[in-house]
Amino acid sequence: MDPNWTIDANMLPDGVVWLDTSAKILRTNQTFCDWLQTTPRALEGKELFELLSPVERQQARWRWNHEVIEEQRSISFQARLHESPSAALYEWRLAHQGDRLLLLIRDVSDAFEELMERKMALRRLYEETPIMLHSIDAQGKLVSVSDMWLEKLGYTREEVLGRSSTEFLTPESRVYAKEVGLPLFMKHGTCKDLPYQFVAKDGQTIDVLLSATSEKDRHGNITRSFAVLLDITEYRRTNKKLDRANALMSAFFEAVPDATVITNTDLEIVRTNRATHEHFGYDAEELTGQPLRLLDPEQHSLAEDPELLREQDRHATRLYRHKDGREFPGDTVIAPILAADGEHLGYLDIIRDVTEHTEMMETIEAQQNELTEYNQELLEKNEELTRFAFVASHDLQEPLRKIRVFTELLIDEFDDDMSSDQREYTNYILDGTSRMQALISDLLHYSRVQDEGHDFETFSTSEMIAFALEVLSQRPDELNLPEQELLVHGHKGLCSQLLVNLLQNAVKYGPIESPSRVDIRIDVDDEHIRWEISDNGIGIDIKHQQKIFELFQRLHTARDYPGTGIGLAICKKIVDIHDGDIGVDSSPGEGSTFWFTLPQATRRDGGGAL
Amino acid sequence: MTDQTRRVMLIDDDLGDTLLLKKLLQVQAPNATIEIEQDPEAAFEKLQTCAEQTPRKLPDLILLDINMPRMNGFEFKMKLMESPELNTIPVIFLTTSSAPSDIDNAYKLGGNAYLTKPGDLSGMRSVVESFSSFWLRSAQLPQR
Repeated sequence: MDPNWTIDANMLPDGVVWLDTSAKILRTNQTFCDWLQTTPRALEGKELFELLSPVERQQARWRWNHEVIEEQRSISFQARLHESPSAALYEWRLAHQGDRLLLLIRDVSDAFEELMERKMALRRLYEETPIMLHSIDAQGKLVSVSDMWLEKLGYTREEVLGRSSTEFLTPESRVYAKEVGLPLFMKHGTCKDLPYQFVAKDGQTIDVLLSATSEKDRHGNITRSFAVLLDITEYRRTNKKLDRANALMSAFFEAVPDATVITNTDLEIVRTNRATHEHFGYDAEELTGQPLRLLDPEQHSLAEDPELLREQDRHATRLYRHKDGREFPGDTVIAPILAADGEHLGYLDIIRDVTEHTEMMETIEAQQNELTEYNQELLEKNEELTRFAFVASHDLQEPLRKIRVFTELLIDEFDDDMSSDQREYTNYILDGTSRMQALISDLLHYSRVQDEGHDFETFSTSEMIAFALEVLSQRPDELNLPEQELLVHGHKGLCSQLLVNLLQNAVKYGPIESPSRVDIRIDVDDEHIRWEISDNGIGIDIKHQQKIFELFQRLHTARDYPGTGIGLAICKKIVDIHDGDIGVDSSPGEGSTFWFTLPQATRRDGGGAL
Repeated sequence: MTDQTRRVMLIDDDLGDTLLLKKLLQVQAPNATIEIEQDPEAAFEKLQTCAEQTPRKLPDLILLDINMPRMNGFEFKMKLMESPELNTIPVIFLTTSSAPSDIDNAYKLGGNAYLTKPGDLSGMRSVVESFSSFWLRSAQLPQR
């Protein structure tokens, strides 16, 4: 051997030991001695195994006997030195060298440490990954579980390690595991998304999808499996809710009485409800996948420009086509269906068959026209009546006038030649005609109220009172006017006439012996002005109070109180024209309070000041 | 010019009224010539003839009723307006109607007054008194 190729074993960083076949140390290098803090001489003759830590000693001896001596193989193992002050770990490589054995020993503490750290990291990763993980050995016992696994099932690690994984399944899942899951896994060495139900410590079941892979030994036997469990309990729950929501929506969708069609964004029919089938004559299968245009031939613009529709809902009335080719009118609302994130999913088209509605509308229109005609007829009749009343009373007046004038002429010219009877009779004629004239004049007046009462203006209550007092033929002995002033919106002439009539009545039916007194009060009553004309007159029995506003109703004889019975009817008519009310509060002997309401003006038209 | 020479034409289909008016008018203007016409068409023809032949005899005042058969007072007045010889004669409408539309119409057609026949004798008397004192005594009228 070339002396240049020999090395001094003492220079090596590894320990070197020569052994005989009985594992006795023949020689060592300095490095090895340093580790044990001894001398080569002290080690010579010692059995190798005595140097190993007791834990590894037995295993090493076993391998020495079987593998090194019997099988003449080289082996390597890791072990600590029993007598070394450091806890370093060494790798031992033993090889035959002629009749001796050469043992090379390397300090692998650092590498081991690193390995251990990696292993720990891996374990931490395994345990702390927020997902349910477990590993089982060949006997099906749990060897490791992740924290999430424990958290979900509510156990501690100590409670579960070493127990069979199937203990944590529901009975049904256990059967499933035995009959389906495990045989499948054994056959393929992997499995994916098998549905299992675990039972947590508190009895709650947890739905999981289990996927697993396996570790095998050199003979292909599964030694260990690694399983990932996906908790789908929440998913299942959500799914259930979704199912319910779906069922609800479906029921609703089907129950909508209008044809309701859901299309995709290309306007192809995706779903239709029962009403669609009833209105269009197709069944669901015939419609699904068909273009919406099949039902809605006028749908061109939409198909060409769906973007336009996305902006806003569309309402329209169009002609739709039944399966039998018949067209019918339909009101439609078409709206884009947008997902929560704004994605355009398609369109919802609700079509209401308005055939009946259209027919009904036509009937209503016809009825309305009839009503309008009828109304017009009524208006004309009413006008005719008013006109008739006017003409009739006017024409009645004419002959009366003649009778009166000539009777008066008769008296005027022949008074001296008349007997007392003749004079009396002619006076009766005159009396009758003048009463008839008053009656006709009042009737004429009454019929004119309707005609005249259109031009409303705004005027003050004071103006109205002043106007009335000017016309009033006889004032009461005492008259108290309101201090307040309000604005009336109405027909000035008629309103004053109304006041005149009531004041006249107050005087006419005044107290028999004492002086007459009339109080006029006004007050705001909502949007109206309420007038009260109170007198101290003879009063009216309550049973007559309603009647007195009717035409020709009189409570007294012509001799006691001459009159036509039209004055209050005119008052009522004037109040009616103003959408007001009129009434009386009275009792015999205690005076009367006639009240009425007229519209209040908020401000004077034309801006005149009060 | 005094009332002695004034001519009044009374056009009214009501005989009673014309008699009464004439009677009352004669009291107010005893010397006036009062002509009564019950048929407005005939009255108009008469006026036309008069305008052609003896225009000096045309009436100074016409008292005109409104409601008359075949031709009412307004139509009569319109025809007068269309005639250059007759459109200067003052016309007083004297009628039973007090309809606002009739009153408006009368003045629109150039009527000089509108009077309603009162319902009693004294009323009639004062009406006749008032218009005759004005038209037959005070007012200046076209010369014929």
